[in-house]
Amino acid sequence: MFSLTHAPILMVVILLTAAFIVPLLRKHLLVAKALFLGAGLLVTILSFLVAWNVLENGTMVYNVGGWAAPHGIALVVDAFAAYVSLVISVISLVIFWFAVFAPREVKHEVGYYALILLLTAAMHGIVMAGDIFNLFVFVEISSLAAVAIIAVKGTKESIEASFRYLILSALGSGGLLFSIALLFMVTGHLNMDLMRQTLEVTAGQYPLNVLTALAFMVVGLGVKSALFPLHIWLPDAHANAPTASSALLSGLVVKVYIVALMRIAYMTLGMELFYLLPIRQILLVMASLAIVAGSVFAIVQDNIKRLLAFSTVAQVGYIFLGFSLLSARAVEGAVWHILIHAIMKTLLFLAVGVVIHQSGYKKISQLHGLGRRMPLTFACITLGALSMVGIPGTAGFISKLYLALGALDAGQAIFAVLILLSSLLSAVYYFPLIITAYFGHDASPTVVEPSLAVQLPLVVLAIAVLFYGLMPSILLPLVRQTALLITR
Amino acid sequence: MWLFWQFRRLCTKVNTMHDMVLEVVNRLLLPFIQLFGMYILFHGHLSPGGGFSGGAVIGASLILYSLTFRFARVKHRLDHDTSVFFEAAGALIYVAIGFVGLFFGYNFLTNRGVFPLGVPGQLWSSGMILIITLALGAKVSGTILSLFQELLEGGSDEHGNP
Repeated sequence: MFSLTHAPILMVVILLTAAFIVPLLRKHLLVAKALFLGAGLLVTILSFLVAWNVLENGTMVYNVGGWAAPHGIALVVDAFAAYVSLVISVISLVIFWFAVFAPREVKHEVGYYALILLLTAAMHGIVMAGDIFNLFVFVEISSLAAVAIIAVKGTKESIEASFRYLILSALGSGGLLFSIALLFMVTGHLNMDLMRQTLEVTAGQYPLNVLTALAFMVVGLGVKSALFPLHIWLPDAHANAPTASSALLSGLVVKVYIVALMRIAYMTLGMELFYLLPIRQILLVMASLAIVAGSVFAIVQDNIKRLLAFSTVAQVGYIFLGFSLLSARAVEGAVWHILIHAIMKTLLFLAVGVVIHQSGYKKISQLHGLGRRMPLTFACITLGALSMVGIPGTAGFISKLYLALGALDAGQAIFAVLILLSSLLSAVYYFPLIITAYFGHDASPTVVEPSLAVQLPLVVLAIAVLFYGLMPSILLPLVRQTALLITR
Repeated sequence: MWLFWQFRRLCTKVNTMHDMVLEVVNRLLLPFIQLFGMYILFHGHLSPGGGFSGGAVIGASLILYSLTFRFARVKHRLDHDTSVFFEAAGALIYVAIGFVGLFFGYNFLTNRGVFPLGVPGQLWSSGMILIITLALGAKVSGTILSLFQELLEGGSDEHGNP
């Protein structure tokens, strides 16, 4: 009865439905947790099936309500959407598990689960929307849920950070909506496919509208995805959120907006615009600045979570760099980096959250000798940090290799040098963490490892880091098809 | 300073006051407000209006009710759990309607071919749109009321502790 054709909408609907049921189960916490995890697991299975189906049979288009494109709303699952929603569902399942079994950090647990479910549903929606206005609606849902999962911690800093995030992300939404309105003015369509076909004719007639729309789009989604000069909300927001939220925000949410930008700017507006405007050069400069400045800011941080947050700013720069270099291998590298950074950063945020909870220390300088007290957790952190630096054999090496080769392909060797330089910089800020943890004097002999259920997500992610470092070929067909879609 | 104390005295008085005028007027007004909300809901597929506007009117009437009459009395009739329940139930009915199309072998949220469409322009027409409007009305009124109650409780947890 449920053939695979319905899977895309089911992924969004299952998560949304769970998000509405979970808050009702305040008195039955166990049922709520089971539902939360069950929804995540079901969606993960569906996303694997969808990805397999897209690889076998090509793009899936689903018309909600049975109405075809000009009138109805379509979900379009191409290789890009299938890949990113696979990443989202797998990583978020790991974070779901952590949120259920980790020590409690928020007051209303069921409300927190509902927000996470809402955020995940919205992320799947953004990735799969074939309709530019629905994309905006999902962007709004995800922004509000993302703000809420920071504020839910209830400390003074987290509320301040989330308020700043709310204001800036509302500005970004305004820009996005304005650009959608301008595009609708020119094309008369909201469906991305039809929009692209119409733009081929009308873009030349109304160049100002399209250019303004593009500018607002890049700034609006740039704020949300924390591209360098627009990143100022990120460090506070990601550093002061509860552990599971930090991992979700840094690992997935930031990247989903990049995907949205790619879908609209590259795949709807078309490449011709990019050769008319210096937008590629602007993005390249911003991405390079992000890589350098994010790393430099991270070096001076003593608070571990702020360090990780600034490292996210730098890593977002990598993804933008790959997408704006636009050679085949650079785009492949950026697509790889969406997955690999999600794994590494989730691993690091979760592990650091565990360390902070078990020891109460938030600063690197306090971690003396903790590596001997929490061997498994710190082994995971070390692996994540090595991968961040890009040591061969870990996953981080693969994406950096592709990005560097892509920079050479594009004939801009300076960016390959930049990637190498920033690897050295990330070594400068990640290694003190490891060195203090393993080689300091044993300052806190009472700290113990958390329970096995809490460590399971860390171990799974650490294995994934090694796995993709040694055998990256598993997802290669999907990545390659995605890159082809973007550079088309 | 004197003004401030007067104002404060007035506020505390209002808080504990049982205002006859308000109660009588509201007893008269409330049924009409709610009837109007229902009208907007039921005619959502025929005239301007629909789930959100109708639900907002009904939700506003519920807020008026709990503002006029004592909170304590309202609380055992329309407590926070009830409004949260309506909030969730509205959304769940919407999703359930979507699944009906799936069970009949059509796409999610299909109307034509699954629900009887009736004669356009009449009250009982348009298949699932009417049901969806009603569900949305329940959701919106529940949400508005529960937002109000959340503000009343001042962000305290389920035991009333701040």
